[in-house]
Amino acid sequence: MKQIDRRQFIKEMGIIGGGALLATSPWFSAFSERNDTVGSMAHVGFIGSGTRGRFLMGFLVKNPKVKIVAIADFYQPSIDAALKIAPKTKVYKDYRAMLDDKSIDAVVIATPLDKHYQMVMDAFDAGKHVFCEKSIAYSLEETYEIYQKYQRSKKIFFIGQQRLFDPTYIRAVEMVHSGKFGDISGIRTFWHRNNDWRRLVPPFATDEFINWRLYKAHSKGVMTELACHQVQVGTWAMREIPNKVMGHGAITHWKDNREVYDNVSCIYVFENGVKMNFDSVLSNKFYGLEEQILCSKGTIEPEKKKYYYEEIPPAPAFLQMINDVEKGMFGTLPFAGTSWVPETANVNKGHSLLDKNSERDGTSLMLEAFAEAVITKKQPPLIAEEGYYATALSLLGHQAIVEERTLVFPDKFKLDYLNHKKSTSIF
Amino acid sequence: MRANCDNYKKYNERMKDLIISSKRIKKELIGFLACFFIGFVVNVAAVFYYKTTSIEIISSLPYIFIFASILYGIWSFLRVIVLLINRGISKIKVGNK
Repeated sequence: MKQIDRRQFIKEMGIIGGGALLATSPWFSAFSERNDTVGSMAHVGFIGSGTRGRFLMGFLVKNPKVKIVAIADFYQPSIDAALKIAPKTKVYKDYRAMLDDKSIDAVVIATPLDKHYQMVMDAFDAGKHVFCEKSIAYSLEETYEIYQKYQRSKKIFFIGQQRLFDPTYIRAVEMVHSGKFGDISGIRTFWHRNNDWRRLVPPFATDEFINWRLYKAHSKGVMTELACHQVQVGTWAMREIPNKVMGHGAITHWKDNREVYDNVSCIYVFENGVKMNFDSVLSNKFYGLEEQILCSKGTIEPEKKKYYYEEIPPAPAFLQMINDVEKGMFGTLPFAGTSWVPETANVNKGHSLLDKNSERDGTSLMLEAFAEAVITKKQPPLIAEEGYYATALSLLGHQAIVEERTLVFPDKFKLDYLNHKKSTSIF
Repeated sequence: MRANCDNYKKYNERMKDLIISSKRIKKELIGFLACFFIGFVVNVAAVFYYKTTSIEIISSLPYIFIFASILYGIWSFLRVIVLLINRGISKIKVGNK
């Protein structure tokens, strides 16, 4: 696995420059200017070895600065699959026993949402650095407590918000922050799928265990599983936390006794009235997913890896004239058919965000950064805060949907971050 | 062997050498340049009419070249038609004599 340093990343991505990168994405300070952690090693334990856990494991196992020393899980099929990725790894049936292992520097937590709180708290209490898959926790209260614990622990804390390390997104937000596209007028995020989100349930397991995302006790559905990624992009681009949120949710298609919505829509409102939408239907995938950043002079679509200027130059005058003459001569004739003349309409094909598509996935870079941070014991700036608010906003959105009312971001859960100030009220 | 040589001689006598004189080449080149000039004038007029940037007078040259080629092709096609018609009329006249 090719290791990276910051200078190399900037060069590879053609990003404007080191200063611009760190202004937009200060967490990149995790990658040193020079690769001076060569030869160092982070000993990592995994809590949860399901699909996501194994996905993360696949990256870390290739990192020469990481040694996966333990897995904590009780579901044997997941353990067996994980041992194929990281053989000779010690297996614990109880994660607390794994946390007692002094040789482990850090833990990666990839378990159902409702399990995160206790595991993260215990991990910090055991003196471990923590990588917790998104969302951080099941409730705002738990999320806030985890953040407080992280701050007191002085340990490394990463949350699985991989877009923070995705070169396409970094480039997109960097361009927005540079003012190239003017002010942000709106942010439209959507994540549509056409599947029931179910996994096959083996005979010896329960549906609730395997398909925990569909049960209220374990998940808040698309808001905590999908929205958290996209609202994070929105707040990153805006450099602001929205004040209010409203929304609606329903089960409109997959009426299979699930407990979470398959059709949600949320509107987050910023101080200046700009809105960030999140929509998700699980019964149509035509538009897929995107985070459309709508600015006064252009639009950015990071998933398509493109940006578009509002004003595009018209077609050359010569072509316009040929087209007009041809339309004048043949326009009303029924047999004329399709014009042979190149279109002169303003078809905005946009421009690519990156000169070359990055081979690097945000996840792999994020995990590399985590490993670097564990070795150097330096928490990169703002990464915990970005993760905190991604979770907080998705949970608040879900609450607004359930309560069917507009909610204001509670003061008691505010941090000193962006436009928020931590509440000092005792009430 | 002698029969083959005779056939070869007869074949060559039927097939004439195609000679494109320098005068003809010059004439066709001028014709193409005329088409290019027409395209160029149309381009300049279009730039003024549609109020686009004057850089297009140069940047649209590839389009003008394509236009000139099509115009030259149409003109050449029409000349061939006229030539064939004239030949046809001549043959009819010779046939009537």
